[in-house]
Parts: sequence; C-alpha cells; structure tokens
Amino acid sequence: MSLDRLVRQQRKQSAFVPGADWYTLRVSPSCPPDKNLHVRGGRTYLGTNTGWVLYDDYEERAYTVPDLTANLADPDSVTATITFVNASYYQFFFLELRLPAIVEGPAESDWSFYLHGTGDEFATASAAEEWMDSYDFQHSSPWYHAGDGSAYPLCGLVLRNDGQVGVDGAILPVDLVNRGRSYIWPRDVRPRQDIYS
Amino acid sequence: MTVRRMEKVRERDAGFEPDDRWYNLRVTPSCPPDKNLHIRTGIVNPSGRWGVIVQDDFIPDIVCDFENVDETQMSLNFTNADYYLGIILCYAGDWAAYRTLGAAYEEPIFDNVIGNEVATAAGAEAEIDAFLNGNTQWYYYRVPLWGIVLKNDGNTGIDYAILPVDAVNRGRSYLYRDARSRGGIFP
Repeated sequence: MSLDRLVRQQRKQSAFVPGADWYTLRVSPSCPPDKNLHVRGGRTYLGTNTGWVLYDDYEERAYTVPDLTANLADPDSVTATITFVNASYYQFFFLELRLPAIVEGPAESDWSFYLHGTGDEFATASAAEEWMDSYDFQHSSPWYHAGDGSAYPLCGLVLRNDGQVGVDGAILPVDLVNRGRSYIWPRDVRPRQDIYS
Repeated sequence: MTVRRMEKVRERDAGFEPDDRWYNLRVTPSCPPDKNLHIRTGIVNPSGRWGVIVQDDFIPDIVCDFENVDETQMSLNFTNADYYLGIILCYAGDWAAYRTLGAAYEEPIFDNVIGNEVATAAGAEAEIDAFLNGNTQWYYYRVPLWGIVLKNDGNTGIDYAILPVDAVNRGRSYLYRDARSRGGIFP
C-alpha cells in the first residue's frame, strides 16, 4: 500500500470517527497518580424512585454532566470515609455517580460520587478483585444512597492502605493498573441503563 | 511518517473501534437539505423496570417528514416570522412498544419534546440544553433521538413553515445535538 493511499484512506475514515458519546463518564487516574479520579463529562439519563415501591413514583431525567473530579480522601466528594484496620490491606469499591443534589439544572458543585463497598479487607489484591464476584458483595446494600436517588456505577477500585490504620483516607495513590498501589479495576462498569431499569 | 509506522498505528487503533451500537438511531439530514430527516436503524429497549415487559426491539430505517402532522404531532405553525423552535425528536412510546408485540401501530411515530418560539438560534439551543440538564421530567415513554433547532421560513399562520434542516447551523433549520438515551422507554 502506498503512502498516498494510506493518507487518503485515513482522511476518509476520519469523517466516521465517533463523537464523545462513547467516552461519557469514563474514569481516569491523575498523572502522576494521587487520590483523585477524573470523570469525563457528557450526556446521560439518571433516575430516582422517590416513592421507593411504586413505579409511578419513578423519575428519570436527562443530564449533561460536566467534567468532574472525585477525591477519594474527601467524604464530601465520595460520600464515604475509607478507614483500614489492617496495614497495607486492600478494600474493593465501586465508584458511582450520584443523582445531583439539585435535580433541575444542577451546577458542577451539585454533583457528587458514592463509594459502594462492604468494608471487608483483604491481604492480597487478587482477593479484593475476587470480592466483586462474591454473593456477599453482590447482595450488599445500598447500591443506592439513602432515599435520595440512584447511583450510576462507573468503575471498580482496589484501594490499598498506605500503612496507617485507623486514619481516614489512608490509601495509596490510584494507578491505572496494579503497580503495587491502589488501582482501577474493572476499568469500566458503566451500565447501558441505570441500575433500576 | 513511514508507511510501516502508519500501518502499525492503524493496527493499534483498530483495537479501540467502537461497536456499531454507536450508529444506532443516528439522525442525519437529507442532501441537499429538505424537511425530511433520516434516522438510522437500531435497537431500543422498551423494557419496564418493574419487569412486566423485558424486550428489545429492532427499529428499521425511518424517515421523519416534518410536513406530516400525523407522524410528528407538530403542525409547525409559527406565530413569529423567522423565529426558532427547539425540539428533541423522540420516537413515540406506543409506536416503539407495540412493535415488539407484532402489532401494527403506525401513527404517530414521533412524540417530541417541544420548546417555545424564540428570536435567536442561541435561545433555542439553550432550551434544548436545559431539557438535557434535568429540566422537567420529559423522559417517559419516549425514545429520545436528537436535539433539533427549527427555523421559520418567514410565513406565519401556515403549517410546516420551516426552512430545510441542515447538518449544522447555516442559517436554516439544523441538527443541534445528540440526545439518544441508552435506557428504555419506561423509566
């Protein structure tokens, strides 16, 4: 294949490159890694069942989510405090996006996250990863947060303690893959629908 | 860049190619632009969260004709000349749902979210943006497709008085932004 033909083919294909839709709500670590995770913005549909039981009470709204940052050491950001009992152990979480605090026309500050975990600690990273498939994790609650809305799963997190026990937010920085620190796994658990559908 | 390097880049990129779901229900204008829009085939999920109906449905290629009120439920009769109207084009819930049951539910095909007549394109876009940022609970029993800004052609009090729909804003009506949902028609 000649260089000219390759260049022409690439130009032609570039017209068919998909837009940002596929990247919506994708999670990336900081570089260099720290305790922040960066969530790409985009359009999504989130729901809440304010009446809990009757489907007639269910609300679903379209949102244009801005680029957001989740600070795993800040309970205001992730609606959870991470504390370890055992030094250098691991915990497994799902990072989830919550329905915004103001339902209509939310600003960036109205968005927050939720860390869904069980508090179980594991000596090895592989044991923490296996926890996702366990009955106890899959039937743990709440996947929602309190009564104020559903949470939209984004990715899994294997968080490793930094050696300090009994200290809030004592985790190692979050890497893209397991390099001996905390890391993102699975990379992508975004549902095609929200969790109530 | 050498040929070998370009080939390597392409081989690597091929691993990241999205599946064809991305193209499902994509809306495109006619060429040259007219008052029809072409909606690509795709899968919708008319599933109820309470489990009464759990189904997927295959929607064929559809042409949306803005001059057919029976299909669109919009007469597009403007009060103000040269004003803009922001809408979110949506498939009607019944039309999508009854297809899965094998029933012929021909019309209306569309059940659109409709804004107000405004003087500027920016104003119409802002209305669509607001719909797509939690404003009103309009997403129920519909399949949202695309945000569209329709511009009046100067005639008032006449049905279907819009300018042809373009891919971008060139002074006529135009496609504004993607509004497709990954969810079903029943929240």
